[in-house]
Amino acid sequence: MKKKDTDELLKKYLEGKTSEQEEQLLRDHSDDSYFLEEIRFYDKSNKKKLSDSFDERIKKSIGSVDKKLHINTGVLFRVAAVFLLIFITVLLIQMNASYQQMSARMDTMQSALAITLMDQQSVHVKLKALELVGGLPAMQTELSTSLMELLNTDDNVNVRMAAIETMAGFPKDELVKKELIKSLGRQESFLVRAILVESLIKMNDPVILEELKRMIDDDRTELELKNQIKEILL
Amino acid sequence: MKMLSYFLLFTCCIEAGLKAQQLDPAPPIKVIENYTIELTRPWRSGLLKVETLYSRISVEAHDIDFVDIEIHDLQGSNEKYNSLDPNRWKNQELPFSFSENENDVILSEHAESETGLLLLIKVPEKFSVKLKSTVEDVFVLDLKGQIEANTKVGNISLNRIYGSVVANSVLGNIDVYYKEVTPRYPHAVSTLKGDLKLVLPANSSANVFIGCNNGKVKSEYPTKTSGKSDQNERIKVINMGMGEASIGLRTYFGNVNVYKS
Repeated sequence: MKKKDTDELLKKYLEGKTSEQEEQLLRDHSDDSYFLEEIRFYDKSNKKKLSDSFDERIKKSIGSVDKKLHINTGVLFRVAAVFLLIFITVLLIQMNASYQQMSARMDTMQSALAITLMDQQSVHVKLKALELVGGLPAMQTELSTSLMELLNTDDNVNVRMAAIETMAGFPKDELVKKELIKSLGRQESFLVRAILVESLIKMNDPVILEELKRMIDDDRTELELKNQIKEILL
Repeated sequence: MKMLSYFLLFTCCIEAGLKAQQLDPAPPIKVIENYTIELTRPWRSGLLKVETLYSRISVEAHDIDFVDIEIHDLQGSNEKYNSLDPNRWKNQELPFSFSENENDVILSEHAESETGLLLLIKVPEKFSVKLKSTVEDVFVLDLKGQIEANTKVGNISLNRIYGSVVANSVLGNIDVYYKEVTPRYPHAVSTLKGDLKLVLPANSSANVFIGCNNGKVKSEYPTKTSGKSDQNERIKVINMGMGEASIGLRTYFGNVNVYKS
């Protein structure tokens, strides 16, 4: 029997439209290799012609085929899930790396912008620049130089106070700490000095506190500054 | 009887004093000079920079495209300014010099000036101002541009303003009445020995940081203390709306009052 005929006959059989003769024909050709491959249930250990329980065998085999397919789908799904998980992990790592790179680049840009703005004449712009610096995670050398210049030379008291508060936001930066202490002797405004001493104390650094105590005992320290440190510190 | 006569005499004296006051009111403030500066680029905003030693500065914003400067004699006792003389500017008889360049108007008082004068300056609404008086007060009204004001002894009063403010005084009080709070630039107001008064619209979106070392803070808005450490207790914060604008207030010897408008 030809492949095409077998296909049609099987289809007809599964739809329950076969005549007795056609069913007989199917039984007769049940040993054909193509037929065997097609219905997938032929058991090599049971090489005999299909019996009357043909329907039951087909049902059984369909069930086992479904089961096999189900098992195969499960395995495939798991493999796919593992691949997907690996893919997502790699993607996340890459995204995190690029985010960090981007973030570092943004910080550099923000820092550069702040330095440029600090150079402007307007006090409003300078305060904006200091606000930008306050949002940075770490102090950069060039930036700290600009900040120190602003702190020690700017005409405006509000700008100098804002510079102190911004710098005090980086308490782990050794250069910032040193410059803040050094700046105490340079500030003429009582208010700026007071804010500076307060900010230094807030940093809660033993070295700074020691330095402030030393300044109180030092004869070279201005009397007014001495009193101010004493008042806030003690 | 004696007591009654004393009482009647006392009453008569008071009445006479009051009548004398009515008959002889304070001398009117004299306008001693007026000058209008036509702007080179009237369609653009500009900057007014005024620096005085002993003169009071008052800036009002109007819907105009020029800058108008009036010089008033506050005490009315400067006889040399008895009559208006349009040539005073030209002859440099006034203790001020001014210049205008691309909408930047700069007015500064000469160091030798010792007269108690008032500079009443009208500017376009969008102008920014940078005002500095060593001894006298500074007033600003209705301005939409940025304000920078500094005094050593005088008070600073900024009324119905819209722009960002940076103000500092050493021994003066500072009042700021915001009509609107702009978040464009941070605001900073400070004085060493003086009170700070802030009036804010209830719909403002701002965080107000108040540093008051030796005074009291009163606020019609709820305040909270910033941080947990003892050293931070001097900083109080008012959170309003989304907190877009940042306003820093600081007085070392003085009180801070914050009101709703």
